[in-house]
Amino acid sequence: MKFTFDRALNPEFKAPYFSRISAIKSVEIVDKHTVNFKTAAPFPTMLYSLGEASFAALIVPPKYVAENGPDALQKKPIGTGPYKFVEWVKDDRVVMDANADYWGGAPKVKKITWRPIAEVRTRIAELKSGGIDVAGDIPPEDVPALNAGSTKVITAPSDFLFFFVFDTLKPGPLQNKLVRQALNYAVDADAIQKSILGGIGNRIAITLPTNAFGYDKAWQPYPFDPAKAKQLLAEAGFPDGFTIPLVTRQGRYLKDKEIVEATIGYLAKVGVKVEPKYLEPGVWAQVSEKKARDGISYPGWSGLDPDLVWYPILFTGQYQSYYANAELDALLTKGRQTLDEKERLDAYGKAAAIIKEEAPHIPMFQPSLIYATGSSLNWVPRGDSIVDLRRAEFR
Amino acid sequence: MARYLATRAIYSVLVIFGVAVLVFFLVRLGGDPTALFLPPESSIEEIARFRRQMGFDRPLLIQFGEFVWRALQGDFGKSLRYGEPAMRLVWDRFPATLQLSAVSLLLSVVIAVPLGIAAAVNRDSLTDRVGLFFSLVGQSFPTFWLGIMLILVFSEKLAILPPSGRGTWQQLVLPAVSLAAYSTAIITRLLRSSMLEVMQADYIRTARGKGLSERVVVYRHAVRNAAIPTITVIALQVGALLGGAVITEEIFAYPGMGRLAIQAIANRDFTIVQAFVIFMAVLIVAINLAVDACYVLLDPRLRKS
Amino acid sequence: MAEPLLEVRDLVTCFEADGGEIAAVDGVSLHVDAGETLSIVGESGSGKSVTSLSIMRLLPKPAGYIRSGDISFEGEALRDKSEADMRRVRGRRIAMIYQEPMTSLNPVFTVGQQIMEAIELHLGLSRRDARARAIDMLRLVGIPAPEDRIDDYPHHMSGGMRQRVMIAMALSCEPKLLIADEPTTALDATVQAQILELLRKLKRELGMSIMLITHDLGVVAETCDRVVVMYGGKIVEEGDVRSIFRKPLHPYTEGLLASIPRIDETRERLHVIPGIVPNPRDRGAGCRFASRCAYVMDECRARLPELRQIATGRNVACFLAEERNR
Ligand SMILES: Nc1ncnc2c1ncn2[C@@H]1O[C@H](COP(=O)(O)OP(=O)(O)OP(=O)(O)O)[C@@H](O)[C@H]1O
Ligand SMILES: [Mg+2]
Repeated sequence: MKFTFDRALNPEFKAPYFSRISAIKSVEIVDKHTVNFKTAAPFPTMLYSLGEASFAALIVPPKYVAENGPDALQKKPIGTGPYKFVEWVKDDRVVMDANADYWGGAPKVKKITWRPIAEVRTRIAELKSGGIDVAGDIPPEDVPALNAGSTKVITAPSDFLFFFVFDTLKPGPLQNKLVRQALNYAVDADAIQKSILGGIGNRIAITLPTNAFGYDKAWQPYPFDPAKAKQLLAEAGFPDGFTIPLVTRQGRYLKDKEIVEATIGYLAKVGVKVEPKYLEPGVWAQVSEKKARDGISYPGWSGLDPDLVWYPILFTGQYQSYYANAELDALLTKGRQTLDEKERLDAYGKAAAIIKEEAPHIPMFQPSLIYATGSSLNWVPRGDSIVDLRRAEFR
Repeated sequence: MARYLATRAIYSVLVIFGVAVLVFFLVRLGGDPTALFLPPESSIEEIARFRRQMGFDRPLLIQFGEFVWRALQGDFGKSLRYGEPAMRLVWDRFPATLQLSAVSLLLSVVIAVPLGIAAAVNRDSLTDRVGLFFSLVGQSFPTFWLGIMLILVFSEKLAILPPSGRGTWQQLVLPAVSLAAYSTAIITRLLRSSMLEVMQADYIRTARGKGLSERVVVYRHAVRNAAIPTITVIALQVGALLGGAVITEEIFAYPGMGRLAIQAIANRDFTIVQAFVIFMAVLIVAINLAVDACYVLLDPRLRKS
Repeated sequence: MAEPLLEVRDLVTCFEADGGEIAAVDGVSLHVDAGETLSIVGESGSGKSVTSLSIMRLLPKPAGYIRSGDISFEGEALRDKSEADMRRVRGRRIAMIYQEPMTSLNPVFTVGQQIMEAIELHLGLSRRDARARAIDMLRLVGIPAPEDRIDDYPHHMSGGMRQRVMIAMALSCEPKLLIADEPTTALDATVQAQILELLRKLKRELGMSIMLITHDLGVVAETCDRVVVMYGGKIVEEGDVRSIFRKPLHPYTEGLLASIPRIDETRERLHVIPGIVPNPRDRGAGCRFASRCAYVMDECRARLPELRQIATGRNVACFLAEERNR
């Protein structure tokens, strides 16, 4: 443990996703099975960051690295996981065998071959012809056809969030709370979910995954009410609507273009003319860095704790945040500085009420991960996109 | 001859340099790749640090100069994603692409040459019409569409051929066929029309006037001449095949250079994109030189006495 | 009278062009006797090449075809022969030299290969013997250093040389009949004279018949025994060289004769027949030469004059023939 973190925390090592662990200052060994993490400030979300999805600091065996050099792990990885590495044919497949001695019990599926098949039709054809047993990233429109015969579809709510962001920092109609509420009323997200995502995924009331810490099932999104939207716009001084830019990327997220276009359609109906700009990923990043996502943007985010979601995108002055509110800042700070669950719940509940009322976003969906598998596979996918087959089995 | 070769060599170097300039600046049009290698929640300081480490913060011209200087020494930089030398990654996948393209080219030639000749010799016959129909089809259907169709029919419906991967000959069939379709069509059409033209030539009448059989007239006298313009097209097809392999490899999840390149483009893995494009440019320039040599073999008029 | 080597009777050869049909050769009858040189003369487009290609059955397919008529060679009806049988005639018994020396050789084979091809095919010689014979033939046609030139490609050679190669190729299997389609028009005057002299010499040595096509009567006088004059796909006059030159009976022949450049003449411009060959599509009912004829009568425009015998071996298709013969 200590070796791993010392290695990962050294900036020279350039650990991927370093930011996820940068709050850890040091690691001290207590006894054979215990270590102490020292953090600079309270770090309530540390367990998420150190869980199985932690790419920043996967456990490294010091002896192996010392004996075989630092590059050995990449070519001949070793570990204590449920599967043993067998071979890697670049760009074609990675093969693994079940680890019979796995501490969590030997996996039922004895051998896994991972194959990158980028083209979705090919993936589906492989599945249908029995070449593969699990296919990920299935488009919603293929779900009905795959839910028949020798294949079936399995979904899992992802940690991901689709939502629109209003730039409230620059002067303009979006600085008006009534306008932001109006735009929330104007969009029929349920209809979009049904027609574009095939009804798959969860509607979110606030920009937070429904299975995240602190998400209250009682929260309600703004209902679809174009009349109310128009009324609010009039009240705010925009009876004839206004024109506003929108920045997004294309092909970055599931059905992003379709969702953005449908939303633009709804906004047009209440008189708000949206001018979309589709940016190349690199350009998007440069625009983001300059904090120049003017008007409305469609960024996408993930995280299973309000601190991982709201702090970076709503806290005043964060570079990805287009909103500023001292009251909210206080609550978010409180949430991240205490380890007491009740206190945190309380703070985030209050924060949620502010977010709902202030409407800095149009929360849309928590999309699902859609997998198709052979009908004999019994498997529950995880929400973080990691394919965990430890407990999967063929019937 | 030496002089000719020297001009060609200089010309080739210029072409490759031009390609290098283009690819260097074009890949950077899509913006700086930093953000793609960092998680979305990275702080602005982390972004800046990474950028400095990678040298993306320096003026483009300086970066370009360094790129050229290193490339001249055979160093095309390390892949941002894999951390391995970019050119080696490309080179590692070359055999797969070469195999696919070579099989496709062979397939094209084996089908197109007899078909084109038969169509021209039996002009307006059923063979000719069938040949024309298929070459029209082959030319107008995009590789992508054809690939998907082949997968739907032969993998999904009939389940007789695997739709993806590499290793067995069965896995090579669908990608090779879909990649070969366009070239086959082009070569068939061109060979047919140049055969038709050649068959009208005076020397063909001379050959017939000697009492030679039609077979000898066609295969000895006509084909040799019709081959000359056809070779150019076949050579151009090598480029087209290598280019088409990019899409084909993506569709059929075939682990070649094309796929590496597509992923590199998606990931903004500049060094790989650069290495790939330059590799292709060198390859195609080399092929063109080989074709020139081929001409000299086929067309004695180009030989120096 | 002995049977002629080649006899063409009432040959009609048509072309399908732009949806219409045109008779490029329109009822031609002629014969070539053994050992004789027959000349066919006539302006461009009169049907000379088409006549010879009809005999060889080498008309461009599918546009050109023989509509009717008989062609008999050494008593065999060529039109009835299968394609395979016809191949045994071509190159072996009848050989042809084409009008276009620059393009009639295949650019991708050496001249030797092209000559040997026919020798191997028809005479069944081995490659070595065929090569030796090809060298002999090249020597025969006056190509210097034939041992070296045999491996040249056509593009290494001048037009005159190529035509010599064509002649060598045509003569390599000792055909009975050589059809020489304007063998000299594309060449300059000195070469022209050399080639004609060569043909004369070879004919004497090999004892074959020649059908020499030309639109230049000057060539005819020195080379030929008999002359057939064609105009608009028809024969307008036929006779032995001497009588035709002495007294041309058809006004067209007269015109052709007047246009021969003479050494003693210093006129800058040659006499040329005024007017142009009428388009085969709109030939009227009358004489095809009527529009250009100096002696034209009303009758000429109404009715086509038949080719008829005026004297022994002398046929003319003109209403004034008898009158002009007096
Ligand atoms: N390939 C062809 N297609 C259509 N018509 C043709 C073709 N070849 C010849 N003809 C027709 O036949 C006519 C006679 O042509 P031919 O070649 O026999 O003339 P020629 O007497 O040999 O003339 P020249 O002195 O120019 O060689 C031409 O006027 C033309 O109308
Ligand atoms: Mg002619």
